[in-house]
Amino acid sequence: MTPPAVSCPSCGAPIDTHNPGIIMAVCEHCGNAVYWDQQRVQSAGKQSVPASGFTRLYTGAAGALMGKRFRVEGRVRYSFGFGFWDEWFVELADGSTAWITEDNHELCVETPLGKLPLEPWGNYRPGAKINAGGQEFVVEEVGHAQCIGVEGNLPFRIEAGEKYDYIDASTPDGRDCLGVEYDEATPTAYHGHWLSYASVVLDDEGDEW
Amino acid sequence: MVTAAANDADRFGIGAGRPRPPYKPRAVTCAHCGAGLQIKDERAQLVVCDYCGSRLNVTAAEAKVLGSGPGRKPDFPLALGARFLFKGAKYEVIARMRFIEDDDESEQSLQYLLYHPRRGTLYLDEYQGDWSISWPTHVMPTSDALAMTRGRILRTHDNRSWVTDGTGTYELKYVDGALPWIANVGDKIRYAEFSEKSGSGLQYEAEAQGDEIEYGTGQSLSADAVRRAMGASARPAPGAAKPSAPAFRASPALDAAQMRNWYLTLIVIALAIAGLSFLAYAWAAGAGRIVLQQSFGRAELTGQKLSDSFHVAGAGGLIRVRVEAPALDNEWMAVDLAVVEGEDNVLYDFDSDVSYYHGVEDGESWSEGSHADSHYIEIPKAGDYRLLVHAVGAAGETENAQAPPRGLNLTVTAGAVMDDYFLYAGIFALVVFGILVYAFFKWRSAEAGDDD
Repeated sequence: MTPPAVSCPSCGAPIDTHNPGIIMAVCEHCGNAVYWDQQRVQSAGKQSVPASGFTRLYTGAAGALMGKRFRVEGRVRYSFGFGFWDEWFVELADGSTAWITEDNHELCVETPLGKLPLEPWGNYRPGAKINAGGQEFVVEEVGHAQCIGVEGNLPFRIEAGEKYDYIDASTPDGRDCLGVEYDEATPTAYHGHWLSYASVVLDDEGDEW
Repeated sequence: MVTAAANDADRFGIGAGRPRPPYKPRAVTCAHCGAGLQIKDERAQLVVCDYCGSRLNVTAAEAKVLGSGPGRKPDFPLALGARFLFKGAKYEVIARMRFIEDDDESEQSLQYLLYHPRRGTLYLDEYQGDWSISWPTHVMPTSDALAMTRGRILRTHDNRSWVTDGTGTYELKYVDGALPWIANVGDKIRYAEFSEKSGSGLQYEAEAQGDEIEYGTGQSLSADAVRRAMGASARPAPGAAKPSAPAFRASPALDAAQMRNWYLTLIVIALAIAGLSFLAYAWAAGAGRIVLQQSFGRAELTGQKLSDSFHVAGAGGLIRVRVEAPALDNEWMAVDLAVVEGEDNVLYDFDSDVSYYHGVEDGESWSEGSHADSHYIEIPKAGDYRLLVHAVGAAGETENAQAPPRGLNLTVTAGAVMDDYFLYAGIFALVVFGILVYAFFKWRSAEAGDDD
């Protein structure tokens, strides 16, 4: 499948996409979000773009993720009420995609696990256990997320202001992470691994600031 | 030939990244005094104005004053904005906090939030001159970390073992700078701190506040490491007084793991010394060769009586003379002895007291004294010797000497080894062992900080 070649319906600037899985893109010139709906390009209006430069990753960054070349295509920033975290959408050299969660500079790479039948969100507290993908996870955080900004190319349509409840959990050995989003009646789960600082190497990265 | 990887790179454009956007600290204006403030970490939720001390909630577009300053500023040795070098990266102090423990103002710890836009945040702590640095981890304990008591072992799911340093409750007494959460003076945090059992200096911690529990890991820092990390870059905020010099403990305190290892090592050493001493005692008691065994009746002891001759071979050496009166029953005997060379050449004279008393008092049996006594005599050369024996004694509590109440047995062992010292050393080591075990359990049951 060939990636769609589109122009921003708002300002006419070309929107560069690499991966055929891209559903939504935020024009880097005017901040207008566009998405593909039944082969037509639709405008979702201007999106708030998160501030850049504070995060380890950034849209357009390229480097190596656990030895594989990758590129950051876009990100979604979520608020949890008293802080926020970023979800970076990345594509790898083999064309596959993944998400890197960056919360206070801790990185976790995740891929979708699919729908996970769980108890209602309100039944979970830190310390509760969840079985997913044959592994046991321990809940570390339960909260409400609200999208507060998007940029770049994304594999689904999302707009600032969208809300959902979430659960974050880790395996007891601290290696694997599980993100559960109560976006529908049956929540969607993402499974991944916590990344050490050294397991992500960016082409353009210096410690001076 | 074009490789598959090159094809992928060409197809997805992964070979070409963009340059990093410039880092631009966020500028806000104090809603109370109008001072311009710079926020290094965009996640900052709370900022305390350097100029008027107002607490500002900066999550909204406009900074909102939450209240007045957090009270008297402690003497922080690190200024806001000071640089701190850790693992090759320069961090900056963006917030400072003062905690006390269990309402005790003397149990104060100062905490600095260090920030680096690429590497994130670290926590630098100083407690009574001991410094440590920590960062988050997701490795969980196998049991309830907050329910541990000092000296107990906690295991984590990365197969590490930790010794509990202490548990308690911290209370936030002061905060300034910018924090990624809204901190309120009076906030209380339950904590548990651990040191790696191996004594590596690595640390593990659990902190709980409300419905949230977080784990961290870190390491202690030596005074030299802190000085190097601070370098000469510590700088006060504009208009602020020069910060005080950092405090360091004269000699670094042992962490719980090191204390535990010290106690256990000393306990094992004391036990080993006791065991070796008793083994040596057993060996010494059996060393040598018996050269004389002779019994003397009461009548023989009233006058001076020479024993049979015994031979000491080689270059002489120690002989052990054992005096035993097994029939003593609430009686005492004073025995005069002399080692005689040949017919009448007295080399040494000595005396030996044996007494044995027993009874029942208030329904409890008691006894004191012994039926036997031993003496070590240095014999200068090989030859034939005899013992000259004379005894007196009495029954009951009288001190007036009368005829000996019982007969006695003499045993002479040539080539003897003094065993008493081994016995005393073993008993002493056992006493030390008991004291150490008591001190260890007392240390474990004491609250952390009681003995600092």
